[in-house]
Amino acid sequence: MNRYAAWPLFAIATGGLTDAAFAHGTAERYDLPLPLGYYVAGAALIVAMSFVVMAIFIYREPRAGPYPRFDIFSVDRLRGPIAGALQAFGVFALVAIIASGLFGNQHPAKNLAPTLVWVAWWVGLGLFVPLIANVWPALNPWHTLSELIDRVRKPVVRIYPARLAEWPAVAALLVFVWIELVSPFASSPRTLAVLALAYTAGTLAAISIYGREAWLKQGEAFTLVFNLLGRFAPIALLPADACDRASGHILAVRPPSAGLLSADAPSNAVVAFLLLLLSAVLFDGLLGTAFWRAIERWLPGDREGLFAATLGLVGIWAVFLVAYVGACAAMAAVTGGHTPVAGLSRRYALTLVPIAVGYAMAHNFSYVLVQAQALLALVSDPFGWGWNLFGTAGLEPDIGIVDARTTWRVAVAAIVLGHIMSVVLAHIIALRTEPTRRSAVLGLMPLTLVMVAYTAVSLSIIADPLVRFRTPDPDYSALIRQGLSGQSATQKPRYCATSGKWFC
Amino acid sequence: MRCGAALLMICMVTSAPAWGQGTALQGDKTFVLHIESVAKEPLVLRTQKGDRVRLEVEANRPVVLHIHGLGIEIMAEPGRPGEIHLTAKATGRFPIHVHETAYPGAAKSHSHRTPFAYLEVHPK
Repeated sequence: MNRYAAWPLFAIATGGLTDAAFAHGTAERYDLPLPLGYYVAGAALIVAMSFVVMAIFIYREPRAGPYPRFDIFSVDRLRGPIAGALQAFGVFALVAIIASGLFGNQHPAKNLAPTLVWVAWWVGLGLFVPLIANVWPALNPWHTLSELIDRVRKPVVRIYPARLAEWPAVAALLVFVWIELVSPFASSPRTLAVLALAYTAGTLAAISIYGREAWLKQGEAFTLVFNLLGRFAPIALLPADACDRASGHILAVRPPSAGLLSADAPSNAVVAFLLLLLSAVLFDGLLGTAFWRAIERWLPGDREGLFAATLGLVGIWAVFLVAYVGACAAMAAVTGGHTPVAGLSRRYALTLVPIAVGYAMAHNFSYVLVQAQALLALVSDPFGWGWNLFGTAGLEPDIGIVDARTTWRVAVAAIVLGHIMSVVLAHIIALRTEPTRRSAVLGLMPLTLVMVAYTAVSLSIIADPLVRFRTPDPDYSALIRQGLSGQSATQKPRYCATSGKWFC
Repeated sequence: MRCGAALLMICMVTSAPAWGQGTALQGDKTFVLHIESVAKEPLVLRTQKGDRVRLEVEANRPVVLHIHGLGIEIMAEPGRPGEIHLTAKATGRFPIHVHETAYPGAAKSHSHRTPFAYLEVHPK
């Protein structure tokens, strides 16, 4: 049998890998689907824990007042240098993305820009912020740049129109996740650089019109994303207690997700924003599943599947919004309608954050650990010109860094814990706001059901293609049988339930 | 629509004693891929960590197979099948894509959303 050498087709190989290693925006994933046992255990835990939480809150009053916190130390003195270093790093990273994207090698895997944007910043920081602490306010290069501009030219600040609320951020996030998940150009270094330049110009212009605080708080999509995720974080800079001698800010540890309770109810725009974020993280996983391929056949298609994927992204957002608002409407009906549906949907919106964080962790855990290793090589050769600044340019990611079993355990634990936190938060809010315990617990049932549904969807995506939504292609199994009969007449093909394939 | 890439059928031969291949080592697996028509759903080649895997590719036209993540390529032409041996060291699900080599630019036009097959390496 001839063995063919790889080298003659190197050109075709790299041409293929250009699109391949960066499938939709982000680099490829090599996660094995969750085995049946983990899937069943996770699903059973989700349902069981929902009842346990409900039962606990029937008998126990949640503690009144602020959540418990442990103050580490006052950071007022340290804050300047640390924030300064982070600010400098943030601006440097933005400049690096633009420079390497514009002038570097346009192969996505050889250019720093795609990995820095998608792996390190969007996915990596997207996990760091909720799991550790929100460092984005200091890292945010647009914050730093606008401060620098203010030194030269005093801004003329107009009042931010109240009715705009966070809608500009919703629009920006929709465009951004479309670029990440659907567009064919997400991995193109030059496109990323141009988009980064355009977003920088737009953000700085908006800041110069409406003022830094107002625009970053409401109009800037990424600040809003990281602020929402940062409320989940166990470490936070909190204002010092009144009884404390220390003034200013204190670095404190708090229970994960407790920060989501302290906030005032967000606006309708934030409800839409949050559900878009939740649907986007789920849709990223959904795109690679057999379930999606089955749906895609029913959608009007084009060559690249762009139209179908766009419909899918907007469709899953709409379905999640309808399910969530529907649950709030049911809650209003059960509790007697003393709070309007819109008011309820704003009140409980932040309770969905832990589900989103849990799924993001499950979906991205091994992906970040594998793909972030590429940064080691890329910082030595950011432009893909064959440099070796730190002697690390030759390092290749170790795809075996985490075993599949570890990934499965982390994934199920993250999804189940996120779900429990969401249900607990919703019960605490209900018991604080509903007049009676009965109306609180009964009223939450529809929302708890929707939470179970969200979590079940995320677990199923991780388990795909374990869960078959249709029978295997009949022609295919026939061909397999035929193929096998030539090999061994005695051996009969056998259907493998875990892989959905025919074996012998 | 996926252009021309394609396949179809796979025979899996393991060294199970029932097959009477007493000389083969435990954990050796051979997959024979026939690349002919277009498959709708990706095939799954299941292996376990530590398995020694032999992959044979027979095709009715010139193709090159990429196994992503492992950085492996296999070429095949009518009458000249391709073959590789590998030892599954890392667990994971590695997509296998088929590229036509007969037409220039064909590799680019092939959509990467749905792979031709997956090589699954499961933990022991």
